[in-house]
Amino acid sequence: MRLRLRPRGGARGPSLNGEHALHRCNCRPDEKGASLTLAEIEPGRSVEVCCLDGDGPLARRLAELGFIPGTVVEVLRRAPLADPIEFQIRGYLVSLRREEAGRIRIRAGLRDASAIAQGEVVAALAEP
Amino acid sequence: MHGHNHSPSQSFHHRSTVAAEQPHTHLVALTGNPNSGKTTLFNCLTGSHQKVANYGGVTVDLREGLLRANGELWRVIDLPGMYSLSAVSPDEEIARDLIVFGFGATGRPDLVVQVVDGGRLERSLLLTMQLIEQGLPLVIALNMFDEVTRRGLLIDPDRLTARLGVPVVPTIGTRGKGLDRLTEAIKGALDGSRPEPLHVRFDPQTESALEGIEEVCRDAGAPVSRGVAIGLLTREPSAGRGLPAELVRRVAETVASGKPGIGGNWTDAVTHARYAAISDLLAGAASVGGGRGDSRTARLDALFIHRLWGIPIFLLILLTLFQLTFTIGAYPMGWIDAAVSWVGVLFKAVLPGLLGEVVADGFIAGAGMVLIFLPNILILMMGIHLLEDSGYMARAAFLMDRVMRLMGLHGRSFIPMLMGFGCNVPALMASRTLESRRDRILTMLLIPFMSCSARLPVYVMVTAAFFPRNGGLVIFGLYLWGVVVAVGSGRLFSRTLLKGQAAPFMLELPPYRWPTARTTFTLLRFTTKMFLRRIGTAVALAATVIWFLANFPRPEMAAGPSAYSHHSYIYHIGRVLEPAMKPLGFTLPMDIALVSGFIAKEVVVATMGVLFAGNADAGTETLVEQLRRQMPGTASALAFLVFVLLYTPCLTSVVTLQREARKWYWTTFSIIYQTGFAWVAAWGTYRMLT
Repeated sequence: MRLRLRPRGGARGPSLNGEHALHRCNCRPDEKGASLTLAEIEPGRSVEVCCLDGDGPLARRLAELGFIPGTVVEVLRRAPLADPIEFQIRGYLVSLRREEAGRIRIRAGLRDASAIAQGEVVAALAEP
Repeated sequence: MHGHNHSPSQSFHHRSTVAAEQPHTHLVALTGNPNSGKTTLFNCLTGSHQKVANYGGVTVDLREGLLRANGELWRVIDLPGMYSLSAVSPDEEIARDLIVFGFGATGRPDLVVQVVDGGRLERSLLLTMQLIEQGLPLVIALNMFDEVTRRGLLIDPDRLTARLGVPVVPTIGTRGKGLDRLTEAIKGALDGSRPEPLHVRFDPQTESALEGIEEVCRDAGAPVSRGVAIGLLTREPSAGRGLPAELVRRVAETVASGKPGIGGNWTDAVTHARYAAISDLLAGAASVGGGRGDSRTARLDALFIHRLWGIPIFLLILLTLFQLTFTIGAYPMGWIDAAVSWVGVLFKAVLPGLLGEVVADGFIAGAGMVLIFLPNILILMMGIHLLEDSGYMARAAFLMDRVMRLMGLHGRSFIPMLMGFGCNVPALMASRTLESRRDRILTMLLIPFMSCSARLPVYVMVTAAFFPRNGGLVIFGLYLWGVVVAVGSGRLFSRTLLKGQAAPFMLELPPYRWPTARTTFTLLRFTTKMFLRRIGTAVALAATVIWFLANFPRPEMAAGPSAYSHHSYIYHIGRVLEPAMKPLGFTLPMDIALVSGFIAKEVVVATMGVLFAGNADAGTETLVEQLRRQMPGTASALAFLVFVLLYTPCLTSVVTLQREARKWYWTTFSIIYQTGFAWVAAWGTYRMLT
């Protein structure tokens, strides 16, 4: 599994080119200091969105499609050539390329798809 | 007349004059997320026959129709789909502009009908929130309500109506159900008895920022609506339109001084608050999230986009389609061919002298030859239509995204490119659904390599003569070769002329649906009509002109072995072309046919019909038999097919490209590149086989 390094910087004001820099959020880095994105989740699992990187038109559109903090996303499958990835979110199917999926950070603590189907409330795994 | 798609001249701009003649009618706009069934509903309401399919982005222009309801006449406009009023592509901008700013003399609509796919209710309501903020009367058509029932989703329209303050009417566009209640609701809302619509409360920081903006604007004497204030806050580029630049700058300062409460920026805060409002709204009124979704779709997807089988199945489906086009089409083709030759003989016998020759050897031999291929075209178009309407095409885009990326293209470019297999003209227009200009230009340069249905007659004719056993395979190979050339050219262009990254890829996969008989029938009727119209105009004219060029000036002595004498104009034209085309193994009539093919590809067949039909000993020979006798052989036949596949598709496509790209150098480049490439590829094919 390819891990992305979490960019540093924390909250900053709008930069000159109109893109906000990353904001701080509560997605918990694992022991190696990296946080997971949707691009890294194996098909068949459900996860919860933590935040989106950036705030350009792409981030806006992803948010409008429903990828906002707290939303549960199920990773359905990858295309035969590994890209794009199909997700189920808010009752519909959408596919994103790895690159875009990589801008959606998820909460640490994966949830099992069957658990969601049974409507269980699943607690996030405790951090170490 | 209203309603037929494809023709660029029927776009909204040209028809606004029609609209201006009826100033006293209400203007009703249909809007909603892509693929929510707006056009299907529009067709039902206005009796139009616009193209529909089961994927987003089919409608890229405004279409207008009239609806008579309870003695009133309304103008109904069908808009391209959009996810949100913050548009990211030209087709979304068209829809946004009409609703938010109004279009020239048309102005803003009097009422907006948001068409909502019941299966994707939660997300659709985000647009509802934005539309409410625009302050226009709103009615919601809760469409595809049959699917809602089938999937076991629970939606209570009355409760939603009460909570939203907006009428919510269940409809089933494909079966024309719920239309009476919908028009009643529209009428009620137009007559003015409207409850106060839902007002979304944002978090305190956002609310105070919005109030700050509203205050600044009010003080400057330019009060703005909630919708505009939110646009200004979230730095939506179009929000400042129509406001003084100075004011926009002051607003930006006000915004910069505040600090968002949720997430890292105002967009997050606003979207978050809207989704929170939506989940409050749906609690107890509808099932949220849609559970496990649609089991039929899940089962079919497990097969069609399987990691291993997905791509082989896709190729198999295409190969089957081309084989069917070739084999089934062969039966009616033979009958039409015989009928056309018989009619030609008849006219020659009845009409005296020169007139008989013009009609029989020019008009009938040319236009009639093209007519033969109507069955093939109908079979192919119907196959493509079934794939589109069932939802499979969106899966094909999913499977092929990686291939698209090889070309430096967006996965969504796949849909315009696929439409190119039908006709390049609407495909070029469909490139509007792409977000970046670079992607659009690149897609438009590659679309002509998608073999359109007008090229099919040439393939069928030549393969029937030279590859009677495996015609389907040869045709499939040609289509595939077109795709390969597009991929190669795409790679080349994206590394040289059009550097840069493809815009982000987001593709919705719609549920699988049964194609309806009505849309299939409409498509077949429309295809036939367009085809006959082309035969009756461009093809017939070109065939007659070719006949004259081939027969005049007349030699004193009897004609030689070929249809054209060495005195004729066409011989002289052909002689000019000959040196350029000789290396490809083409003969003079083939050269002439290719030149005439710049007008349209059907003309290639017509020209060959004319040039061969006048042959003294042609007698009752069919065109296929004549071809076999008069074309030099398999190698040059295949080179000819490759040339036809790759060079400029038709005059209309050139005009459309110019209109969409708006730069003459792209149009010129496109023509030169295609024709140059066609020559090189045909030469390569010929040399390899000889």
